[in-house]
Amino acid sequence: MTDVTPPGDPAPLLSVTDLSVGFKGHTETVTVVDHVSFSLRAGETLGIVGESGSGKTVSSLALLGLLPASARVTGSAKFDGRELVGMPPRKLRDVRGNDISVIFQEPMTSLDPAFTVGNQLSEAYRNHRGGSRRKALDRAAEMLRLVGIPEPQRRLGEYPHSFSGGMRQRVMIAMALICSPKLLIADEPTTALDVTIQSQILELLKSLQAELGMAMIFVTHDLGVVASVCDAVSVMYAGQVIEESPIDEFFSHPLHPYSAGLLDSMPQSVAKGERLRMIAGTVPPPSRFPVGCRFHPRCKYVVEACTTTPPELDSVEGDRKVRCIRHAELTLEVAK
Amino acid sequence: MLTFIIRRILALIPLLFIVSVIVFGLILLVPGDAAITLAGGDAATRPRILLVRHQLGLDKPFLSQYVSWLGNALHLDFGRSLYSNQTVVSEVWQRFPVTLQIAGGALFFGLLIGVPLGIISGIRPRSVTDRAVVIGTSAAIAMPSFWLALILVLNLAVYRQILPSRGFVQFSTSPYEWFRHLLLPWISLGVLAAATIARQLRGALADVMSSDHIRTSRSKGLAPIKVVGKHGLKNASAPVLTVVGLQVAYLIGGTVIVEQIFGIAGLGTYVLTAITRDDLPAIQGSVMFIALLTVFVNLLVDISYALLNPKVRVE
Repeated sequence: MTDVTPPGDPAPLLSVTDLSVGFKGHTETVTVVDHVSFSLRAGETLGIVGESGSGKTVSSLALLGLLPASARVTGSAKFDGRELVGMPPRKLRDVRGNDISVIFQEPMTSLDPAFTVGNQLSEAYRNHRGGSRRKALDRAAEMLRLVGIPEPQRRLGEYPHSFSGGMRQRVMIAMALICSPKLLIADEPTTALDVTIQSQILELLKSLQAELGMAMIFVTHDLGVVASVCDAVSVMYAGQVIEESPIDEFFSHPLHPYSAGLLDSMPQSVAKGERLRMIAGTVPPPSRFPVGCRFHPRCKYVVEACTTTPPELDSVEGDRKVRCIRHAELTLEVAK
Repeated sequence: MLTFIIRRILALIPLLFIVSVIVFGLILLVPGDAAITLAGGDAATRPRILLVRHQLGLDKPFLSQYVSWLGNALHLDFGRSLYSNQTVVSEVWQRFPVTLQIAGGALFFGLLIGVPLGIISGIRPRSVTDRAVVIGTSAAIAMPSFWLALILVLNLAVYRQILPSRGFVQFSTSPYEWFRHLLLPWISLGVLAAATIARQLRGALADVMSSDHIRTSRSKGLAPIKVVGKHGLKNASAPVLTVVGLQVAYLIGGTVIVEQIFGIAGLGTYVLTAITRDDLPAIQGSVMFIALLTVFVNLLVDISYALLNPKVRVE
């Protein structure tokens, strides 16, 4: 578990323990998320960071049962005293969009093109709160104003195709927040947007979080985003959490060679004119995760033992965790 | 929306013009001297030939023949049948309701069976139910309707005698008998429509269900019936409508055979008789009528596209 829940504090809002997700294939089940644990308190933001294929999106969507039918989810995810894993679909629907909302990576395709924005927003509201169409539309207009869409009353009657990508993501945020959820899962919400729009959306999410007091899980591969939004970070590699840390310590001295590699490959960490650095190789597909430490084929600090013994997630420095047998002996420096 | 409809109607004018040229051009396909053939071939008397030639305007140049034919056609005057001496329009109009009841009922049957099959198949592609539906609809598509009609008649009408094998009863006379007489024609024509609609809906719905906005709908906590019934079906409906439009044309054509098998005097029988008797005005009139009907149905399909998909209205 991350430090987001310091000892002595009240129970966390969400506490995920040993969450595993497998996909049933033709011959065998492929495990893409392997015993992932994290937790966060009300009002706080956890970043889940990793490359494509690390399992970060799958683990966050698994919480709400939004994965395809072939997915097998095990482990535990306690939210506000309720167990989400294995919850009956009917009960889970009461949680979705009401207590926990999601915004997705693709604003261009995430809204239904055949219904007006007003219809989709009020539908989300009435689904959980009931009430008249009129009242739901008023609430929808209020939400559009909140996310910074001008002339909300008029835009309610428009279809998604007359909104730009950034505006559509604002609509998605309005829709996700219309029932005032306690937790918002943002799955790479800015990846598909222009850089200028990205920072607008990030600022919007930050200010809304402060205003509404909700917790956020921010799934991203962008450490710059993590630095500006998150309180804590959980780094995933090949379906496992390999490091958990409060944000400041993580950026000043990462504990895992992979985290260090990620920080090192940020464009900000090289001088002008210098070549961008990168971690050689790619994340292996789930069917071919290496034996021992899953990162060892790409690791600069690999020793014999790394290729045979799968490392445990060890607690260090009180509130940090790392999955590396050499973490005590390595001093990882990140260029500033 | 209104401008959209008006534009679509205007776009039909050139299409109907081309159809009219082809329909009128049928006269050129009559072997030898059309007037002799139409007057009864070798047995025709000289006065009869002259009468037919004059009646059809065959003594005038082709272009002026066409112009005067088109002029009349615009006033819904396709001349008189060479045999019954009634106007073609009144004969077509008399036969059409029967054919409409056969084709309409078959289409209804197709939707009644095809839509639910398409839905249960499309929401779970590659499941056992889906595979069963795919196999079943493949078989249905491969089955010619005349063959199916004969099998049904043999089994249900001749051997078991549950249903009548031939004939037609007006709805106003006896709704029950009307239904009993039309059931076999509906099924023989409707099975293919059902299979085609089911296949199309299956594909479209399977596509839509894997799209991002369906995931959004689920993430809002909507019940599956709302996710599939509202967001799934509305987005999957366009390709299905296209198929329904095509099916209407097919069903009208299919009635020709089915009316023969079940001995029903509809438009299909009328066209067939007209063709075998070289009754040119009757052929031209009824073919033009069927073409108009097909074009009208496709116009309706286009308009419903626009109603279902807001983007079409803009383009």
